[in-house]
Amino acid sequence: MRLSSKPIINFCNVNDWDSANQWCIRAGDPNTLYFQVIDLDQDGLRYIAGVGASNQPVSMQVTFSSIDSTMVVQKSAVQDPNDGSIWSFNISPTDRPHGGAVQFQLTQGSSIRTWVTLNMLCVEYPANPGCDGQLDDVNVFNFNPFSNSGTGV
Amino acid sequence: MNNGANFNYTKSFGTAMYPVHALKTSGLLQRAEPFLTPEQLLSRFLKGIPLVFPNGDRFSMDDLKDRIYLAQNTAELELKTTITRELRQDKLAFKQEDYKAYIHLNAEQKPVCTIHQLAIVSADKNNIFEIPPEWIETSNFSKGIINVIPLLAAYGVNSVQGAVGNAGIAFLTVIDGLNWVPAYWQIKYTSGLSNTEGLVPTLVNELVGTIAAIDILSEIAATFIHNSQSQTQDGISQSSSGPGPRIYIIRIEDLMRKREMLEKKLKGIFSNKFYVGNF
Repeated sequence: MRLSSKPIINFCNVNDWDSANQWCIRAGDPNTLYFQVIDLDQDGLRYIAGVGASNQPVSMQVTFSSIDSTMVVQKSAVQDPNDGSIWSFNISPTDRPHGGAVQFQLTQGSSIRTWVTLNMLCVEYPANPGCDGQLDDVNVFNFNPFSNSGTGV
Repeated sequence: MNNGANFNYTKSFGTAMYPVHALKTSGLLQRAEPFLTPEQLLSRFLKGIPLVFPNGDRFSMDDLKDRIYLAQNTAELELKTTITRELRQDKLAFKQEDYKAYIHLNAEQKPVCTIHQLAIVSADKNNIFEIPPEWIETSNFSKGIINVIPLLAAYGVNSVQGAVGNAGIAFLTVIDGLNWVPAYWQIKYTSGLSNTEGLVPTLVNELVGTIAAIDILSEIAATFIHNSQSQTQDGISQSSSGPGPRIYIIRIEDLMRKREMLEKKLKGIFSNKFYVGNF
């Protein structure tokens, strides 16, 4: 079983939604993002997590990664009570996920499954459309995604 | 013991990666956008072209997404850098002439976004001397060039923030007699084509789309194996001829020229061009 996620847009209820290639959001906008868990080994058949006592408790973590550890955004997704294959989570205006691949981690009982969906999030930046953005030239901040390879003297 | 003076240190020039050295933009023209989407690939490069094979197979949106992913990797290979900002660690040679030219270093990967360490590190990975970050000149990062200009400390009113370690200064004077050391300067830096993750210069998306479109068109064209067909029945006949596997050749050639031009221009923006001649 190889799980994956299919983005959902225009979600009204479990019988009324559209599947999409990716979520497209604007930085700073509040959003609720929906996705469906599918099984790639069964031609994309939807997968309902948490069925049976051995698969409880069930939880889903969604991670928007970054080279800068301080910019990684992690969200806990909530399973829809009417369709266990559909999950959702909120993006608040202060959350700043970066576009690209999205990582998922599904925990069912003691079993953990992880997967990555390519280019699942597209983030538009309406506030600064003229360039790719600037990095401040500051002396010290908490960018330290690596460990010291040298032992020093 | 790790002196670790500047391990949390990061330094950049504080401008955009593209347009190069842009400090502030008007916002009237967009020059960067999110990664190319399958819908954009269709509307920008493949409009009017049926993505269907003679046997009925067709490109799905998932297929296009996969082709974009392949094209992004190809573009990285051709541009000799990564589209997204990634962390690197190089060890560069010590050269006497570079040392005397304010430690003129060329990072392996260009352009440089930020630098996190410039140090003399021994082969057993001991940090011998870490260059004070205040001395590192960042203005040529877009070309991958790192210089060390210690004039700030010499003439500035502020002290250098705790990075000059132990025997470092003495070490710097000893190496004055050396000409060449193959792996000497260790640099940790991020490099890539964009400061903002998930956002790329529009021209890079154009290159990615061009690469993907060429591959898709040539894949489809190769399956058009017949140049001409004819059918006869009871004395009535019909025949047709077409370009066969050369069906999209003009479009492919146009895209090839565009790809070549974009590659050259982007390489010109983000790396050095050296001309060697016999004058």
